[in-house]
Amino acid sequence: MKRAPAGRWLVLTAVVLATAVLWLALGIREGLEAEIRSLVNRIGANLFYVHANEGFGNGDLTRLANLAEIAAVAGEGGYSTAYIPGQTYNLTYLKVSPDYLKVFQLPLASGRSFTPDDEDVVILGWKVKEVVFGNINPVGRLLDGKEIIGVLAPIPDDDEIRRRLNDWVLVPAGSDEKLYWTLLVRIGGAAKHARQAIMHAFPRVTITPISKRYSMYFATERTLNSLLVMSSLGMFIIAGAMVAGLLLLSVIDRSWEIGVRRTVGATAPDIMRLFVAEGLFLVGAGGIIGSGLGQAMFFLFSRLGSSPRLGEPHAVVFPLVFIVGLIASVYPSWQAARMNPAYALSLRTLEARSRSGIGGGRFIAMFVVAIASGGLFLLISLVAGSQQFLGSLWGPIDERTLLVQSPRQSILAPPELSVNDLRLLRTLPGVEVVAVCGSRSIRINGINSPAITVKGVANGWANLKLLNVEQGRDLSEQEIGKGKPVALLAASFAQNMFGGQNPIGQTLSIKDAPYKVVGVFNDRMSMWVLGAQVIIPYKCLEGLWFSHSFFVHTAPEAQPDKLRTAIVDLFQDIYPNTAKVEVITPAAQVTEWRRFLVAAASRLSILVGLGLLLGAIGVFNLVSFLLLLRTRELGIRRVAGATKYRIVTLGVMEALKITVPAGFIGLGLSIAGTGPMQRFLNQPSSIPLEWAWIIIVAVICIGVVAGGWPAWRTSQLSPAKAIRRGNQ
Amino acid sequence: MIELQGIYKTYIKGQLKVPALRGVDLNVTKQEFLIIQGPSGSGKSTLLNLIGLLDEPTRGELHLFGESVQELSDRERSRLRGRSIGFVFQSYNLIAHLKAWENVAVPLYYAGLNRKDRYQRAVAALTRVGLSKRIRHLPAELSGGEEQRVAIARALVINPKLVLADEPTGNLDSKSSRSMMEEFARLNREGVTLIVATHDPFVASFAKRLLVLQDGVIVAANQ
Repeated sequence: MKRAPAGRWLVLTAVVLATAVLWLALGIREGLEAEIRSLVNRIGANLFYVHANEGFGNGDLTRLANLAEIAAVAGEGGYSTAYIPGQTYNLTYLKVSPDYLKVFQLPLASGRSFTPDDEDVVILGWKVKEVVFGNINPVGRLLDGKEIIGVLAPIPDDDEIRRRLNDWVLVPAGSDEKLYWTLLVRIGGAAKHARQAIMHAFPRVTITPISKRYSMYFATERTLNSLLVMSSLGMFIIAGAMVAGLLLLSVIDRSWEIGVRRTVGATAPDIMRLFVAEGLFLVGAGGIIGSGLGQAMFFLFSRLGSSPRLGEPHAVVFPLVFIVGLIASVYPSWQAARMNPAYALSLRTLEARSRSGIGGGRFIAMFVVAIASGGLFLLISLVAGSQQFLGSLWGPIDERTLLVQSPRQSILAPPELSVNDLRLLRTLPGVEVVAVCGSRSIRINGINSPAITVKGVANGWANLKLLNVEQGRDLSEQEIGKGKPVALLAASFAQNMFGGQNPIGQTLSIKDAPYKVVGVFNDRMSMWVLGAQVIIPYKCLEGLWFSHSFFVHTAPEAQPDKLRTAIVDLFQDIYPNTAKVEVITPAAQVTEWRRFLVAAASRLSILVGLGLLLGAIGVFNLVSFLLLLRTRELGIRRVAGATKYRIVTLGVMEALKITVPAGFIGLGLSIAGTGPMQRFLNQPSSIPLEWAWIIIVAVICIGVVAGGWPAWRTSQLSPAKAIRRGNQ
Repeated sequence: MIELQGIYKTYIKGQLKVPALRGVDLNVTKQEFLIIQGPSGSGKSTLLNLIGLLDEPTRGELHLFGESVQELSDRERSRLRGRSIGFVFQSYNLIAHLKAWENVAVPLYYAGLNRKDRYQRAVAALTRVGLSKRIRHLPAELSGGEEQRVAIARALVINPKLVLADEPTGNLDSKSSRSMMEEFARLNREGVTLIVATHDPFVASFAKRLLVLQDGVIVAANQ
């Protein structure tokens, strides 16, 4: 636009920034997906997990293998840990079908795979072989009384699904009726047909492709990336709208030129092409520069420190740039093309053009500010919702609450913690409350589910107030002390068990004994630490518990870090040559998530900030142009006595008329969008309306700056010059 | 060549209806040099816009080069305008960021000529109006008279059958006005039909036929 070249540069800058951010976000996404694809390809994309609550038998396996669409099937049963007396390691056995290695693509470092006739033989994971036998090839030797027939090749650490097998020992499954929890199925043809065939044969199973299983391990990164992609798409839409706004102003500015071109023979499509080309050129140039900037930014980030994987998003970015350019150009070009040539010729002066009646500029500026301010409120909602979510994970805990437990899934023998260790823990200085906790896997009577983890808690538990009890109440000290048959359920388990019914007062049958449900606790993430679906008094199943752990509450004067060390040392003394106990704090989990939240929010706030900046540029452009069109009017006002201050006020008011309604629209849009976003993030629903004032302040600031600045520049013109310029 | 029957043109401004032409009947034959005179607001420019297919009448019949233009599509009207009609305006209407030859070549671009041909024909047209040394100048670097000659070159570059000029001398000094009108007279002798709207008596003196328009109605006609 000839009269306002700065506007074009600002919009070009907006497109460059938006493309760079989009390029980065999509590049990271592409890198992440490529990594998942590479993991999937390593194992073969045609592998599916088939799961049924009631398990599978050998007959089911054969039946599935006989389906035309299925190439091969293997079964995976439960795992069990054996403690070998006198050894510094334990063994975790996994029962598998003979074809397991072939179907799961597990190469052998030495030895052979299972045959259907094998009994009392084992195949070792690489780490088991390293710990137990060192550099010796163990094939042919005995382990725990079983002949070693093979050793698995080492599985890389990035292979989240299979790497556990490094620490495990594979054994052939027996011939029990239901011995496999999961079937691994290699399909032979189209996935859709294979799924249909499996569902037809086993209507109640769930089928999960291996790609989905791997994706679950990257869920956090993918969620953050999705937020980044959505935000950058929002920014790109803003940039596209700014291009549309600029083109619209350009149409008004060049209306007289349009008239001239039409006079000398240009058709309406010719004029349309002129502006579409201009829009595409602007967005295209911005897109190319932005992609380069995105790549440079990534290069810079990778030099500065942590570098995420980056893919090549050109195949997405460039078509998107083209489409946005095209869409942004359509309305202004149509406005230009439909202009009557004689009328267009009459719009020679700024004064005439100000009355042209070509609309849309205000709407577009409003749209830009609305999207940006809506994004700001969504971010606020995200942070507030996350804070509420973190606050809901646990009860009123702090760094003084510690959980002492055996390390999980370690080949090194874990210390066999028992209820007797309670006394020793209490002797440590700084320990205020200790509650013992036993655990075991139990099938709940009356429901069709695999075994769940039940924990028994002993005296001291109620004082800890560890859990966030959402419904009903926690177990009381009296109930725990007397071993009353009452139970506290995880929310997800209660939902699974009782559906829509109120679980409080319902009865649960454990080991054929009825337990009354007294409360439901939030287990959205507390499961990670607690790992239990049902909590009952310890005394109820006394003697049947294993995997003991302890909840420790320290005195205010105690230093948690020192106490942690003291606890680890204590158990090392009691159980020498075993793995160190884990001392973790639920509060640390919250802190870790809060750190993640801050990192995510800071990245998103940069994007939202950029979005608001783009919105401000859009308003600045519009107000500049509107003031340019009204130059003569402003000159006349000055002649009539208006001060410079009044001219600035006029510009600010012009901008506020756009930004304030846009702020409210953005607020409304983001309130509507908060629910779906919180559901997407698995957060409790909350709309922090008390923070809405930030949006209003932000849009007022944008209005004052974006309107005041061009108005101040206009106010510097002498009245005579302004009148003269208006007549040009 | 041009036939107008009962032409009305009314502009709508908000609630207000402003009649610009009220039942104009006019015939223009080939190689005529018609001057339309009238005070400001009499409808001269509107009449030229209608003849030049820049606008459409509210009512009435308009025939151009032997065919009715009422039924023509926008594309057909644009093509006809771009290939047969040249325009010269009081304010020259040159595109500020295009050089003199580029301004002249704009109609040729829409006529589908390649760049080389456009350049050659534009230079020839500029040479014809005595601006061979100004072909690479921007409008801002030309005098008013030179700008108007560029505008004439742009009108002539398509070898039009008809040239429409709206107050062509309005911004020119007397010397430039004379020079321009002499150029028009020469064009007319070469076979171009000219219709010029003006309120300048000097311009009117070049007319083969003179019409006087007042309040949208032809009030006098002299041969």
